[in-house]
Amino acid sequence: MSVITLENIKKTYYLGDNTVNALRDVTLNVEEGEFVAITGPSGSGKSTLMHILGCLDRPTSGKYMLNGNDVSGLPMEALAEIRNRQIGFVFQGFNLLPRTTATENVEVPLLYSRPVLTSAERKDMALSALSSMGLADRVDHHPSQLSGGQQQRVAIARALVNNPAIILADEPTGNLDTKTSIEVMKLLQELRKEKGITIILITHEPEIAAYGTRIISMRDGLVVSDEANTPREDFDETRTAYKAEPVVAAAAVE
Amino acid sequence: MLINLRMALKALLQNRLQAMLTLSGMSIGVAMVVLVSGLGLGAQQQIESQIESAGPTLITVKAGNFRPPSITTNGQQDNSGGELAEGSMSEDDLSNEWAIEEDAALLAARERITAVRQTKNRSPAWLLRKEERSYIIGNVSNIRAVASSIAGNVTMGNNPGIVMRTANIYGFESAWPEMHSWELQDGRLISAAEHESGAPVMLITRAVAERLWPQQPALEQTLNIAGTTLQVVGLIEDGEATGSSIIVPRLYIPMALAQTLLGRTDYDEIKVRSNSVANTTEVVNAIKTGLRELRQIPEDTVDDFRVESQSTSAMPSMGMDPRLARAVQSNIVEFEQEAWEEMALSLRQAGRTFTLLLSAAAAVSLLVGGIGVMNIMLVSVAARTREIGLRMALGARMKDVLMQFMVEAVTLAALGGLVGLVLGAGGLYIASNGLQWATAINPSMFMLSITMAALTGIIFGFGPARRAAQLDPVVALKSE
Repeated sequence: MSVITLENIKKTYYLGDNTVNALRDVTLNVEEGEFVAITGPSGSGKSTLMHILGCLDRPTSGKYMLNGNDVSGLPMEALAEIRNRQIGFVFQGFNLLPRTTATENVEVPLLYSRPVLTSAERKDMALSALSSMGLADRVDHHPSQLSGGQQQRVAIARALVNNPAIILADEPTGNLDTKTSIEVMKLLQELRKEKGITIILITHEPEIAAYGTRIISMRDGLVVSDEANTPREDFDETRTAYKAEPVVAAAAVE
Repeated sequence: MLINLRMALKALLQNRLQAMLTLSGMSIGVAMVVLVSGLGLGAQQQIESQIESAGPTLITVKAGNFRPPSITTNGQQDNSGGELAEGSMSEDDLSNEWAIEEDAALLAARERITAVRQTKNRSPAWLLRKEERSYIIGNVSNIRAVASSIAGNVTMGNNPGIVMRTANIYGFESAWPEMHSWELQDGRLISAAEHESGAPVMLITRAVAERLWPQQPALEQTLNIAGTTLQVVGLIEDGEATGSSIIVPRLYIPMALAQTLLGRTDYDEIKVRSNSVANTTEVVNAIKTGLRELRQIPEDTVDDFRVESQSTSAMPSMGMDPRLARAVQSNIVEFEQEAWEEMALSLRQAGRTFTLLLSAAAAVSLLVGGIGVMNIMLVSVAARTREIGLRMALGARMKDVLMQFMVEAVTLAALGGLVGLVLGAGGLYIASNGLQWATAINPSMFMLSITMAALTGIIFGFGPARRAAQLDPVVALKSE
């Protein structure tokens, strides 16, 4: 079953007199349980695509079906609910609230769930999400007391807490060292295998993209290649050197 | 809601210094409001009490109609109304023919009473009875105090060293001294219990004291009055001319005792203090109506009693043309009322202007506090744009974000309000106890100031909160 279907998606920004065609014409189909890695250089449109897939933005034209429902024309309030229930976000900078415990961070999506959850329910759900990420002993720690890998795992727990159908990971390893990056990718692969969660990964690093079951390359707002991939299974950091190239800050379309 | 409050407190704690500064701005505003309303209300109450104490609130009820005939429009005196000698007549006086015949003045008075009237009938004057006093206390509203008096001469017993043989005893009730502004010069006044039981105690003026006991202190001296021994417990200044009260010494004694000594159960006068100048006329009319009913005076018969306000009784001594005096007197209650009301009005207006000015100052400081709240909220929204974007990505709707920041602004403002309330109440305490200023504390005032603070938070917090709610999640997420 298709989780995501994009038909002729276009996104155009008007910046004063300039017109930026961030997405020219993207048609895409993602099946349930796929691990899609979207790669491309800065300005290729991958971030814009990510925002549209994540219902943070609406396409200028085209049709977006999420779990069989057309969401391309929905108002922002309805999109907020879809983000809350169906999509889990993992960001490059973790985006955890500072001076706030891991549990409270994981609880944030639950604050906006309808029907309203009691604080006990929220806490239970947050704690179980954290322990599934192996952070049972870190629940009361603040982000500043956690390592980068642990912080990203808290962020993944937060993405999973509402049992979403898809996880959107935007450069999840951008701020992590090689070893931790591999751990996070392994974790995402496990989620796909064990829970059947569809994962969309945005990255500009081919070595990270190699962990997906499908690799889509973008350039100038168009999909230039879309291939099935045998996901990398080796998690030995010594055999890889994909951090050799300097990381170009994810300025992208932004 | 509760979670919003917790988040708000957390956000404020994370921004401690700024929050504290804003809070103090807010609290100064609210403290001003509390202080100003307390002082303003106090000033107004003071004005009100000055108006009351200065205005005619004392009403005298006397038996007999002494109201002079009115003057008709063509200047002719309308003699239809007769006069009754002061002191009036008891039932005994009227039944004992000889008593009246001996007194020419009384005889004339009786003639006028019983003569056929051209316009209105007059009934004989009955003395003021106990039921009438009870009626006034129980049925007339807007009165603050009631006290009756009785006076009469009695023969003194044998008192060594004292030449006088007759004393004028004056029975009064406990509210009387306050009504007549008696000044206690030595000793004490007669207690309520002593008034009740008719204890053998008395008050005298210094002039009387010097006449009775020229060589020794008068306090605790005793006098034998018709077989009862009375003790002097206090020296007073009764504000009355001396003269006759020295020749026949006047002794102020409890009402019950005076009635026993004089063998009477009625009163000469009942004095009523209305609770405000504005109500004096109303009280006078209520007493008139009530007494007419009690005395079953028919419609075509004029009052057989008098109800006068303070200056009505003072008028005749002012030495003006008697006809003019009469004309003025018959209208003086209303006249005086109007003059007083006008004066009271201008005084009240002055007080109101004063309060208004102070309130304007308070409003300005509240405004400044509000701007402070707005400022910190704008800073907070700007500093937390990324957090707002994150919350939106995780499912927060516009109204969730709006609510979060509104709660934060209102919490800040209300906390400031609470601190300001304490400051303002402290200021009022100092003003009233330290500086002896007139202040008034009204519980609703406290509610008002907290509400004002919260409202300020809502008004000045709305702009920043709306700005946060309208952020584009994509842009907000990318902000640093």
